[in-house]
Amino acid sequence: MYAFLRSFVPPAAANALMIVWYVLLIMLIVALSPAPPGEFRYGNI
Amino acid sequence: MNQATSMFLIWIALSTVIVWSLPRLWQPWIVTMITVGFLGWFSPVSLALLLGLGVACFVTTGKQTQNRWAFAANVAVLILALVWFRVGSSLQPDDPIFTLVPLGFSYYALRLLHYLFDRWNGILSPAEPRAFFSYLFFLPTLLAGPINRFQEHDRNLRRRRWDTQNLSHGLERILYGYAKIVILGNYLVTLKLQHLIQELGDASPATAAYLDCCRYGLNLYFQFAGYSDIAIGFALLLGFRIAENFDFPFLAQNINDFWRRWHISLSAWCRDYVYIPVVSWTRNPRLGVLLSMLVLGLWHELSWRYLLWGVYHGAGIAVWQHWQTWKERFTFAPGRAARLWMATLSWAATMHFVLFSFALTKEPDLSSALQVYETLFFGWR
Repeated sequence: MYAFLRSFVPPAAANALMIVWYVLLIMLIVALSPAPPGEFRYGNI
Repeated sequence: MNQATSMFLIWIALSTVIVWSLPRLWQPWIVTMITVGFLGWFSPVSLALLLGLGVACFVTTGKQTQNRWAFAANVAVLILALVWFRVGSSLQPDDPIFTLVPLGFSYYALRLLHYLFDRWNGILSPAEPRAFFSYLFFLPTLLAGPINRFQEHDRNLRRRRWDTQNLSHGLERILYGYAKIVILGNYLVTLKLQHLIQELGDASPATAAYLDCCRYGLNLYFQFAGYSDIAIGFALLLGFRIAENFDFPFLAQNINDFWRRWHISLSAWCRDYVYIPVVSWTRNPRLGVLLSMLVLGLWHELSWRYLLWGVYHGAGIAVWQHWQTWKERFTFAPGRAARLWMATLSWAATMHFVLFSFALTKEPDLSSALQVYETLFFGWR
């Protein structure tokens, strides 16, 4: 993903966008983690 | 974030810090001890079983000269133990012996069998104890694979070094793994899609049954591929590179291609230790495929529905193999548009073949699975 961003924007902007992307993902995971895992136990780790 | 997830993340962080802060010579033993500690914490009985089997195998097959009775005894004990736990957990699912003991055992047994078969075939020489035990007791792959190979582990053990790029790639893979499990699997597929299917249920039972098979397949993929990402990322943090377990299976153009992309480490295990031996003895590839898929199915669960699931996939691959030899008789050179149509049709047929097999595994028993088929094919309103 970083390589993809680097083809459009300079390195500093690509770094900043990657940080935003990671923070967004972490926030989403924490916010949505009470959702049930369905039939599988892999979701329990 | 639930307690088990937090505990596992803490375990990943602590393992990485402990392994890299100690001298290199000790690191394989530390990797082993971390897994022993993990098993001892969550399931001491599992630890006793895995340790007992591992030590017995190492002691009896560790010499340069091969004793075929020792190999046969180890293989028989492993297969019997696997069958015993599988039968036990099917017949008495609430018995604590069967719910506690098999933690990590299914994958452990396949790794140990791979080691034994490769030793017997002369592919492997006797392993050093630190390589052998750190391979069997490797926490990232212990619980749900991928089924990494000893050669790969031993090479990693010799070449691994501290690398910040491995660290950042590992953390990224773990993050993507949790994103697949929580955002895509748990939230979008299980919560949202399931809600939609339940609303549809009364109005159009066949559409609901069809979508439920799609939901099950997508959830299985996101959960399992997510877990594989976490395992690969965790291994990278410890300096080990593990082969990929999934390669966009829902883009497969035929059923053979699907099994090269779905749970790759398990299908490669069945290819190497069931398909190739059966074909070399019988010269019958169809029988090899059928037996491989039967083993693959029954390894998941010893039940009629998984037996049928194995036969279904085995027959699918056998028919595809037959089709490949049959179509070579004809000289047919389609144009670009025709090739595109054929590829699309082939993809749609493969996905529906796989989708219909999910009805067998998503239901608790065979009669419920047959009811799903009845709704799927005759429940249109």
